[in-house]
Amino acid sequence: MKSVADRIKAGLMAVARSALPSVDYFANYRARVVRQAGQLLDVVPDDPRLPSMSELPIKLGIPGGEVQVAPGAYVLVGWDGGDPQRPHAILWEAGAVVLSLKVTAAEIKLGGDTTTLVDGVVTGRAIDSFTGIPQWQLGNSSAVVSAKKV
Amino acid sequence: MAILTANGHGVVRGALSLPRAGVWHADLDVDAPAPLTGAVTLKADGLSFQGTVVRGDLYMGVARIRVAGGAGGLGRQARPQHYVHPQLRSPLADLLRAAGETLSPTVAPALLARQLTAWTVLAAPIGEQLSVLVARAAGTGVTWRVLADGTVWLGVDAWPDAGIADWRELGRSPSDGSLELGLDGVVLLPGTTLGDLRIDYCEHLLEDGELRTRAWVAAA
Repeated sequence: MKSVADRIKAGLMAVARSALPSVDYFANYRARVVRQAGQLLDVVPDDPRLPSMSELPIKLGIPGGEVQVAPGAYVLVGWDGGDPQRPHAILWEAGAVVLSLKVTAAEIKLGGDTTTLVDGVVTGRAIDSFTGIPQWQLGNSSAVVSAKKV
Repeated sequence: MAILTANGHGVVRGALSLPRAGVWHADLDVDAPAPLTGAVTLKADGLSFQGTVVRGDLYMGVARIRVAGGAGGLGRQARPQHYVHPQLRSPLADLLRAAGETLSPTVAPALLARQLTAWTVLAAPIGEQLSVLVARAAGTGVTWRVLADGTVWLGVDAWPDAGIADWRELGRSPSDGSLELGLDGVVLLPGTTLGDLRIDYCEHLLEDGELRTRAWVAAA
């Protein structure tokens, strides 16, 4: 049986809840990518209080960067400044399959300043921390890296 | 003759609350032989209000009811929907349709044609979603309310004269900007000007055949 204090507290919480929007445009919600056209995503949020959303601009976090992901990736959707006119997709979840990544920077440094140039190119070697096998042998390293000639 | 009637039955006591933004509502004791349900017309001298009984029953020989302006559907949950490059009229029409409400024909067409980049309706009370739409997409100074005729209006208030020649100020509360008024009936509406006072909210109180009106004035 609830005490008087519990009932007063429950009443106050109900008042507080009623003063807040039941779904919040200032929050971010997990959503699955179902389609991508250019840098716009169509997504299906996990939360049924949100609709399927289309043509959401990607906010990649890298200025000028562009990404192409396979359907099934998860992002967060939200709205700039809580404005329903300005939806966006941000923050990819781990596990997203990246089909391409384009960075427009004039210089991209791989491996930092200590990386040795061999035959004029940067070489890299990564070891899978779980198996100890080079990652290229596991088939999960990039096959192609394109760089603009300077 | 009753100052206010509900579907032709006299209102014994109660309050009719009329906000400038939102849904008007009334809590009334009606001298009716049976509970009032569904659509209800409140009639006062010169004014008529179309609403819906949202709650009530017979109690101590009177029908004690709460009436909400229009169809009383703005408390329903909105169906989530996303729009790309819609005009304001699209999410607005869908929200009102889901609520069973009717848009006022007096809404400016230019406002309805306002172009939005996108819009997302969330599963939340329709009235709340309507407020967000008006606040974030309709432009500066635009508000919305259910009019006396039960339709939903949005626009910028023009503050027309209330057209009430005979009124008396019975009291004033500067701390909350309210006035106690002596009027000859339920004649004052929000969004109008009484003298040099812009009426933001008014409440008509009926008790024992007497009418008192309290009005809150919009901040300058």
